[in-house]
Amino acid sequence: MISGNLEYLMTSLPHLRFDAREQEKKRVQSTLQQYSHNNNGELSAVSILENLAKDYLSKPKYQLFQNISLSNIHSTHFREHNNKMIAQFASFRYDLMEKLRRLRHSKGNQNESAIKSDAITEGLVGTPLDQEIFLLKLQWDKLAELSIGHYSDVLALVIYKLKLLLLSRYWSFDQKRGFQVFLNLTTN
Amino acid sequence: MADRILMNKNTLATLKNELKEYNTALPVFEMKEQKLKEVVQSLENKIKKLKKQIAKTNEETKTWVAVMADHSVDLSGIVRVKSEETKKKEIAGISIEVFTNLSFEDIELDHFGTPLWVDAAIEVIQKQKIRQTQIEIEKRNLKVLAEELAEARRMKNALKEVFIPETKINIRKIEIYLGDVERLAIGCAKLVKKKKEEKTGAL
Repeated sequence: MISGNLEYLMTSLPHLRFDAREQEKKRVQSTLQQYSHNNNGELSAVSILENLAKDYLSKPKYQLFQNISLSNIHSTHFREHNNKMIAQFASFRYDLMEKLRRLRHSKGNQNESAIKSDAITEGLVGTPLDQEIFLLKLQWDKLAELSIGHYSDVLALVIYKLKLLLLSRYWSFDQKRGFQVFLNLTTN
Repeated sequence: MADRILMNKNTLATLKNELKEYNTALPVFEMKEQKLKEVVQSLENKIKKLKKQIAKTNEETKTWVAVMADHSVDLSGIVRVKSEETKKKEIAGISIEVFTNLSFEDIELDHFGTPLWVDAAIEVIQKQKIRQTQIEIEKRNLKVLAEELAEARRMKNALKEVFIPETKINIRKIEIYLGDVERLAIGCAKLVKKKKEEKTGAL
């Protein structure tokens, strides 16, 4: 990929869809792999994206972009960020995690007052896999909502990264590997 | 049992005593065999049932187990066995273990930082681990009981097929022999008496 403006980068990146089918996963990964200068194919899609973004962002913006991940987006630092979009998603994720924490706590504690029913609690139906997909989709939709109006700026790239992280997690759900982990845990 | 036996009254008395003991022991071993057979059967059924439950839970878990491929959580650190509790039980004079509880280390789970599926995973892993432990205990019991059953069966068969019939044959042999000796002694005595009478008559 040639160096250029952020708009060029954004239009070159593969379109992301909330889809865990193998062909979709391969499409995104192989497109990103083509842009990677690493030929051994060991880099994750997110790492490739981070490497690509380096050429298009200023140092402070790149640091922000690199630091953001699903494991820390809920932190106070991001919730109080001066960028509204980042702060909104950080608060959304924090609220979601807090709601889930209270829900899980109340299940284990009979004395705890019941959590009020809402779209989240009502959506948590089916198997644990269904529930995880529901939670990922919830965050995906929030990002889609926040992305309106951001197509080729740094926030568009941040949203792209967060969506890619959500997808990477979705793609990591693998029945064969998961069952092997489960069997190892139950028989050892 | 020795091949050569002494054909005398002492041996006969000893053999008769042995036969009496064998006849007392035989029903004990028969009962032991019967009881152990029943217990072994019930343990085998219990193991089969537990295996079926494990297979059923595995199939049910397969519908959502994909989430366990998520590397962000180390479940082995969350579900750790603390202790296995059993109590002793006597069956036909044999001591076996009875599963009472499998306790897990009380780990404070971070409900904020860990994914939601972890709760269900912990529950199902613990359930399967308990069943696996029960199977291991019952297999150990089964091994002990199967050895005892084989021993009881060997003893019953040895008494029924070898010791009792051989002892009966030997008793009969000695009785016939002693009878013959007695008849021979009487015959001899009569002959001596007759000869003596003939001698005194001739004088």
